[in-house]
Parts: sequence; C-alpha cells; structure tokens
Amino acid sequence: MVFEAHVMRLTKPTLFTNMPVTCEDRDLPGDLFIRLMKDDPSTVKGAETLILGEMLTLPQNFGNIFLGETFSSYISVHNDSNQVVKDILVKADLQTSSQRLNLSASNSAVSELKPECCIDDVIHHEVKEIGTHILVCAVSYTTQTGEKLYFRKFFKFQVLKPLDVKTKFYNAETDEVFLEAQIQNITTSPMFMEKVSLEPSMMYNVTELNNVSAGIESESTFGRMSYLQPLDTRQYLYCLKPKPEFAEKAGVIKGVTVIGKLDIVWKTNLGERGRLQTSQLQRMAPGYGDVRLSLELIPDTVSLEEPFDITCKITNCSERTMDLVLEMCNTRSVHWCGVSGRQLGKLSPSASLSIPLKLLSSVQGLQSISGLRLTDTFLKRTYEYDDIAQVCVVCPYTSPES
Amino acid sequence: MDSSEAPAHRPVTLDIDGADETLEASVPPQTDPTEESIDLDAEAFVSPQDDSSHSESLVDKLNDQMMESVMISDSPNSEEEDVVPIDSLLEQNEEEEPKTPDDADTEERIEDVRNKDVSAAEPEEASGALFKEENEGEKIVQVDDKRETVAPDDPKPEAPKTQESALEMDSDSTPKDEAVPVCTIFSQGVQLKAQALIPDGFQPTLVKSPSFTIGNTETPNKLVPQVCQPSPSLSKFFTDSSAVNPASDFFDSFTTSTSFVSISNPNAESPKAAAPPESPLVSAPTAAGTYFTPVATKPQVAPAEPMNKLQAVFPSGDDPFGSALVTSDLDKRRDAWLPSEDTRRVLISVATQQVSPVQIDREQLAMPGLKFDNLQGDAVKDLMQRFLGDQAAMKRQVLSANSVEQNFLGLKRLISTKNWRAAVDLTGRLLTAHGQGYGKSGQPTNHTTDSLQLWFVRLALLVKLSLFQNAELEFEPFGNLDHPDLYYEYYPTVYPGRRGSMVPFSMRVLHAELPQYLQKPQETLDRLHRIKSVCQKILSNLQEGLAEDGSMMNLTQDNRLASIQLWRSRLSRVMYSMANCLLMMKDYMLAVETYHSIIEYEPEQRVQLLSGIGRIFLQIGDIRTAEKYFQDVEKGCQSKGKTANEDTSVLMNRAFVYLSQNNYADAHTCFSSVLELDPKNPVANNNAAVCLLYLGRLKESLGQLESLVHKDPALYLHESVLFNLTTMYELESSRSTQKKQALLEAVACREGDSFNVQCLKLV
Repeated sequence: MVFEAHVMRLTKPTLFTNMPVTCEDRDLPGDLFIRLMKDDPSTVKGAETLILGEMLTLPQNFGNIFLGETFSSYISVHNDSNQVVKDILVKADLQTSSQRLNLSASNSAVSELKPECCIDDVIHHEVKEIGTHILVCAVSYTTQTGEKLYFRKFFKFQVLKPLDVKTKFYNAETDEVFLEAQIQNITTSPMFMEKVSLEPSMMYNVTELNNVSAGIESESTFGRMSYLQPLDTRQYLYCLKPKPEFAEKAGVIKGVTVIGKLDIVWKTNLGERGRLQTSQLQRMAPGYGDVRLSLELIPDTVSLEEPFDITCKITNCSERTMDLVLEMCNTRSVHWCGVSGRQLGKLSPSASLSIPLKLLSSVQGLQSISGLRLTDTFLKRTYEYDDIAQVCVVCPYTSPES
Repeated sequence: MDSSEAPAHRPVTLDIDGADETLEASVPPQTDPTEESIDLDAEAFVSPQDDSSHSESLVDKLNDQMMESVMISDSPNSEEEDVVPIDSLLEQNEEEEPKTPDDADTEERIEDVRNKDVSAAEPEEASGALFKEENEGEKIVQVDDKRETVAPDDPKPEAPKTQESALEMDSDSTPKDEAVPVCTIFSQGVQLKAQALIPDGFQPTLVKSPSFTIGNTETPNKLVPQVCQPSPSLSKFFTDSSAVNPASDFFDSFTTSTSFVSISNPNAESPKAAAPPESPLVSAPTAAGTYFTPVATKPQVAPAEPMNKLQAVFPSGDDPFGSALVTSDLDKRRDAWLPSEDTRRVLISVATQQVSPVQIDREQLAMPGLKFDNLQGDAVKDLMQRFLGDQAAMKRQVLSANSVEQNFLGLKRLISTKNWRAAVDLTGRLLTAHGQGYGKSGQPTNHTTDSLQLWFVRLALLVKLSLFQNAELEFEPFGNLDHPDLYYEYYPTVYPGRRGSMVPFSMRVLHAELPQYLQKPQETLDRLHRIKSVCQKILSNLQEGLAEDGSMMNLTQDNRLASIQLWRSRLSRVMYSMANCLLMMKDYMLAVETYHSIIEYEPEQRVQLLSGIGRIFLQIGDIRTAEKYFQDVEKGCQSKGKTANEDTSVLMNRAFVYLSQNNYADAHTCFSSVLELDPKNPVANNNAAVCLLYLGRLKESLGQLESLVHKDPALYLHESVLFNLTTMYELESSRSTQKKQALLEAVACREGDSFNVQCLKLV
C-alpha cells in the first residue's frame, strides 16, 4: 500500500516513572549506580530517588473511554509512494448507535500531496453515548494517471459508563428537602471530582452541605482527599428549600416534583476531563393529609421549666374550606401555655396561617413536642400532631446553691 | 488546544424517556430494584419512601429509604426508533461485506482495487493507542506492551515466538555444540514464573542445567594450570595472592574438596582441578582457547593502580589483619544494625564462646546459592539477527563476562557500560568461586563482606533488569537478612573485634523494595517500616549519647555527628522508598505526606520534591492543588534569588499545568523557554516534541526527536524517547519498521546488553 491512513487516539501523555536502585559510596559499585541514575535523562536531577519523573511518554494503548470524556484522535494520511497524489479528501466520521457525526475539521480537498508528505488532522469529540462507536476514515484521491481511488478504514471502540449515581430524598419537618447523592467511581483510575453540584429546578433554592466552614477557610467534608479511587463512593448532601413564592402555595407541591439535576465534572490523568449531568431528579412530595402542620420557628435548645416560643404554620391541603379549633394536650414532659380549644377561624383551600405558641418542658434531655390536635368543625374530624419536632432541654443552673 | 476545551462545555444531558435503547448498557451491575420506577412517567412514578404519614420523625425516615439509581446514560437523540442498533450492524459485517450504516452506497460508487481489501475487513476492537487496522495482512505483528488486551486475531501466537527466541539463544550461548540440550528452566515449579517474565519484554531466562554442561566443557583438567590454588578466596581477587592471611586459611579449611563444588563444573570436585569456576561457562568465541583461572591470572590482568582504588573503596576490606588492628569508626558506623532478640542471643553466645558456630542449628543460617547460573542474553543482538541479518548482528560488540577481568574491576566495567546481564553472570562466577554457586543453596557456607557485596550487586542488577522473580528466588535463602551468620560477631576469628551487619544497608533497602514489583506492595511497606524503626532507634541511641547499637561506648563528637548524618540520610532513603511504594499503590495522600516529610531530611531537594508532589496532583487531575505546590516552588526560588536550574523547574511546572489545561501551545512555549536556558535539557526537548504532536504537527515533532537522537545519542537513546519516536513512526507511515531498524542499529552501537528493546516496538 502506498497511501495510508493511520489513526492514534490522543489520550493525555503520561509521566515516565523510573526505578531507583541505589547503593552507598562504600558499597562495591561505589558511585556507579548513582552515576548511572544521574546520566539517565528520565530521572529528576538532584532527586534521583523520586520515581515520578518529568519525561512525557505518548499513550501506550487505546485505554478506556468513558461517557462525558472527549475522544481525541490523530489522523495522519501519508504518501508512501514516489508519486504525487492529487485531490485528496479525508473524511472522519463517528458512527454511534444513534447517529453519524462528521468530525473532520475541514471538508475541502487537498489539491496535491507529494511523496513523503502527509495530511494531519486532530479530531475531538465529546462522547455522549454509551456503547459501540466506530470511527470511519474515508480517503479519496486521484493518482497521476487520473484514476480516482478511494478507501476506508474502520476503528471500533466501546464507550463505558464512568460513574454510578444513586440518590435519596429526606423530608424535614419544615419545607426543606435533603438530597443525598452517592457517586461511585466505576472506572479503573482515580478520579478528581472537580465539581459535583445540584442545579435546582425553578421551584427550589439549594444549599450545598459538602463544606465545613471554620472562619474564612472552608474545608471539604471529604477532607483533603480530593479524589475518588476506583470503586470508591462518596456521599454528597444538598438542602433544597422551596422558593417563597412556591412555599406560599405549599399545598400545590404535591405528587411528583422536579428537584433538579446533578452536574458532575471530573478530571483524571494530567487533566483529562469529563462531564456528565444526571437526568432530572424527581421527588414524590410527602402527602400531608388534609391539614398540614409545619414549624416555622423553633429553638434547638431551651432551658428547663422556662417557657419558649414556637411558630406553627397550618396549611389547608384539602379542596374545601375548613373551620379549625386548636387543642393543646400536655404530655409527660411538655406543658403548653395559653388557652386550649381556641378557634382559628375559617381556612380556605391552600391557605395557611401562622400561630405563635408557648410551652415549657419539665424534663431534661431531648424532648419531643407532641399533643397538638386540630379539629375541623365542619366535618367533625380531628387531626393529631405528635412528634412534630425535638428540642434539647437543659438545666440552666450549674449547681443548686447558685 | 482550545478546540478540545470548547466542546466540553456543553454538558451531557440525558433525557430519561430516551434511555430505552441504551438501557442495557447503562444498567449498573447490581440492578437496583427501585431503578425501574425512574423510567416511568411522572404520574406513575411512586418512590417507595414517600408514604403519606406526615408526622414521621426524621430518624425513621433515614432508616427506611432506599437509594435510587440514577440514569446517567446519555442519548439525546435516541428516541428515534428507526436507528438500527450498531451491534446488529456489526454482526452483519462479520458475515459479509461491511456496508457502513448510512451512506455506504453512495461512497462505494468510487471504484478502487483496494476497496476489496477493505471490504474484507471488519471493525475490530481497538487495542493499542495506535489503532490497529484490520486489513493489513502484510504488516508485521504489532505487539504493544498491553498485557490485558491480546488481539484475538494476532497472527503469531505467544508460544511459537518464545520457542523461536529460545532457539536463537540456544545457538548463541553454545555455538560450538548445538546438540547440547538447553532447558529453559531448571525445574517445573519455576517454569511458570519464568514464563511470566516474557511479557516484560525480556527474553526468557535460559538456564543451563548443570548436568548438561558436563559434555560441553572442554576438559578443563588439561587447561587448568597447576599453580591454581584450591581456594579461590575472593579477597585474593584484589589483594596480593601471596599474602597468606587468616581469612584465606579460614576459607581453605572450609572450601576443601568436599565442600567446594563448582556445580557447573563437577570436575572441580576433584582436588586436582579445583576451582576454575568459570571454565564451563566459557564458550563465547572471544575466550575460546584462552582459559584462565581467576586466581592465576587475575593479578596480572588487574593493573596495580585500580587495585589501590579498590582498596580505597574497601578501606578495611576483608583483611583480617587490618580489621584486627583497627576497626575503623567508618565501619562501625556503616555496619551498625540491631539484630532481632533471637539473633542477638546467638551472637552473644558465640562471642562469649559458649557455643561454637558449628553447633548452631542450620535453620538459623543463611545459605544462599545461585538459582540460575547463566543469563548471557543480548536482546539487541537477537533483534539484529532477526531484522538485519546475521552479518549485522556479528558486528555488535558488547562486553561479556568473559571479556573483562574476573574481579570487582571487571564487574564495575560491565556495570558502567550497561552490560548488566554480563555483570550478573560475572557475579555468578565470583560467587561460585566463593562456594555459593549454583545448587549451593541450603548448604552451610561462610559469608564475608565481599560475598555479601557480590550478592547485593547481583540482586540489584537483577532488579534493574526487571528480573524480579529471579531476584526473589535468590533472595529467599537470606530470609529477613537477620541470620546470625550475617553478622560480623559470628566470625570472631576472621573478623576479630568487628561488630555489626555484613549485609550492606542498600541490600536491606533492595530486599524491602523487591516485593512491590511482584504485586506485593504491602510486604514492601512492612519491610520498610522495620528498617525505618531500626534507623530511628539507632538515631535515638546516638542522640542519647550511646553507640549506634545502644551500647555504652564513648564516641567522639565528630564521630557522633557523622554517624547521625549517615543514619539520617539512610532514614530519608527509606522514606523515599516508602513514598515511592505508596505512589505505586496509588495511595496518593500518604505518598504526598511522606514525600513532604522528606524535605526535612533533604532540604536541598525541596524544589524537586515540591514539584514532584505537584506532578502527583496533576496525575490525579487535581490541578488547583498542584498549582499551590508549584507556587511554593516559585516562592522559594524568588526568595532565594533565582538560579538557572530552579528557573527551569519553575518553567517546567508551568508547562505541566498548561498541559493539564489542554493548552498544548503554551506548554510547548514553556518547554521551549526551558531549552533557551538549558539547550541540552533532554526532558524539555522530548516534552516539546510531544506537545507538537498534540498540536497536529507530527512531521515537526518527528524531525525534532530524530535530530536529537542523531546529534546526542548518549542522552536520547533512552527508552522513553525511543518509545515516543517509534510510536510516531507508526503513526506516520506504513514503513515504520525500516525506520525502527535504523534506530536498532543506533542502539546496537552504543547500548549494552541491558537495553530494553521493547521500546523499539519491533516485535
């Protein structure tokens, strides 16, 4: 064959590692070993025992390619003959299971190619599909005798999945939703997670809970381990709060809602980059029955036997208007202050009202707030609210004398 | 390259409904029961955790929720049902002419003779960075050093190849007598291990079975001069042979006819012909007819001056007179070691003459012996024979074990000329002369400073040659390097007054480092930690005003400081090994920590270490942290006032950062500016050429590397550079083999027998 197309995948080069074998100057080889190492161009001068050198070597094999990474390839068409070849057109297409893409930088023909000359092209393609891909290189040209010739070459490779993502939602007492995302590296090389963020849908604001801030410096919850080893999994946590305009209509957030999607950017060897987004994450909003009681304000720690305030929010989630009466029943530890059995008035569908309440605890420790009863006088139906929230009750006195 | 960054900004998004086709591929191995629900539409979607109990406590919720798998497969267009699945397409292709899915018809209108070739081919799995194209029947088998992927249609299977080279080796090593059977390995048990060496690119280790070599020997009895002394004590190789000293007496008593058996030459057993240890091995044309025994000829061969040098290297050497009179402080410092409790007890009882060494249980002794006695390979020559013909191969001149002095000087010459295989052979002969030859493993022997140094050199070279299994085999009888007979105290008559370890410290490090190359890095770490704790104990002894071994001995202040310095440098060497091992284990965080702690011991290597740590982070992909370390390097350089060398490391670091940002153009500029400061910098030259390739400038890149190799072969005939060069040859043209052969010729003129021919990618 006189006219050839060669293709090489351009993954990042690697750093050459050498193998130090040393001896001391009074050993038999004397300074021989260290001199050999100093003369070796691949060692780090001055620190020859360091195995990670600075010499770049070209990729040694095709390697793996993962979804979201960029497939780069060098296409070289070389004239090995001793004749000038004319009107050369090199076309590189990538065939996937769903489509065929043209990757060539230019689609114009090269008018002539002298012997020992070549046409070079570096193609890039961000891989967006899993499974078999075929790179098709088509070369057409005209010989000196005017004969039109054409040949094609096929290069097949598999695109693999790099990450396994699992999610889990937690509903808080308030309107907040917590999202836990487990991200597992299912490749064979370590992966630096450059960015794992949640892009919320229009209904929510998001707070990332993956940093612990101490003063100005904020430290990742993963410590200094910025990378994921093969098969390692990491948990990311996000707090989602409905935007006020949607929170007002809390009753509206029912059934399946779209929370948002995870945007993941990672890097591997010498900055080889990949990026993926998950599909829209969906969440089934918890059912609240007809009337929802949530907390807007509650202290986390209170003093023993001292009254404290909480603010409850009562939302009518049903389709009809309600007329509500609030009863407060004391439990062993929780004592409500104020009048029980008060009328809250009419509440139309999706409307809500806030009521400040006062209570105290007679027992130390983590106490559950229970004992609220709402009765809809229209239907004579009573809704019970126990274990609404917890507070920590502490004794404010250090000793009985003081 | 900007263009590669640009498209990457568009995030990959998956439309959940479209996942039908790719579902099979994207389902994780452990199928999650809840996964199916994800694909359903919004109304039907019920996730199990959302039951409607409204006042459930958070704790309960935490417990009962299942994780959901999220599809991240990506196929924006895959809803189009009419697309033919690619696999079925390929299957068709395998049976008949491949029609490229879409526009095959239009394209195939153009007629071409070769088109038939192409159509006969079918897409194959891409293996090798350079794609293998299917239809090249004439192409010479391209075997990259990938171990895991073997192309199924590889025309030359592994087995015949091995045989072929084995035959070559055969004729090579015994040119006179081809009928002599040579077995590849001496026992079946080892055979597997030896074969495991093949993928490393090394020739199979040919080991002559000792029983077969008898017929090959040319009646050494006739040739051995009568002057030959029965005991080839090693010390005689470089001390005056006429000097009768207690050491040689000691050996005489030991290496009499009954116990000194040169296994490769059974004739040596008879007292008459004792100790021409290398004679059976001599079969290369250079040495034909000129048999010489080490003892008889060595003093003549070795000039007087180098001998003095040798003695300078071993100031107290093995000369028992010397050691009896002056146990130099240097030796004490160097040999200090803390034996295990058991060993210490034995040594004390020997020293107090409660026990004579004869009574000591054999189990407790180190009884090494060669496990193979001839490497004699020259892979470069074999390749030349194969590709350039016998005539060209004949021109290849390298030193062999026969063509140098049979002593330490010759050994050093072989090492410095990079003929490490020959050097291993020579150590084998010298050890055979010492009674620790082939088959001697498990037989009681006496160790000397020199014999252990020889073992160290031999094993170090085996490791350098990547013959790890061989090294492990021969290390095995040494156990943990803690046998009582490996300490000077064990030989009170030979080394009166001398204390400490005969095993050189570097051999301990080597022993510790070896398992990591055999996929046992944990073992390496264990051994290194043991060495480290001894180093620390010795250092703390010294700081407490004791001697190295903790005894109440008065050291002068100078001595103490020198000893502290030595042991700190040893400690830092061990830390280096640990960090290197951790890096190989990909335990990057610990590796970085360890490298960082070395700075304390080796402050002058600060720049290199910080840059190295930065490169580790680049390897992980953490460019931001890498930049932090590189900034530290820059700050250090600025505060010191820049020196040229430090400037190059700053520039080099910047280049690596650019490279990691896919900015090959700026990386190339940085490497080029290193070259302005230091035009001969091989790393910058090579790396600049690599950048050119990524910029699509293959010819320039090739030109640059080629001219470097021709201008300065000493620097650039390095396997990394040659590997890059041959890779580019393959990319450039179908005639890469010719160009590689030219490289082979260049290599043949300069490099020794230890050259790793794999990088030429000829086979």
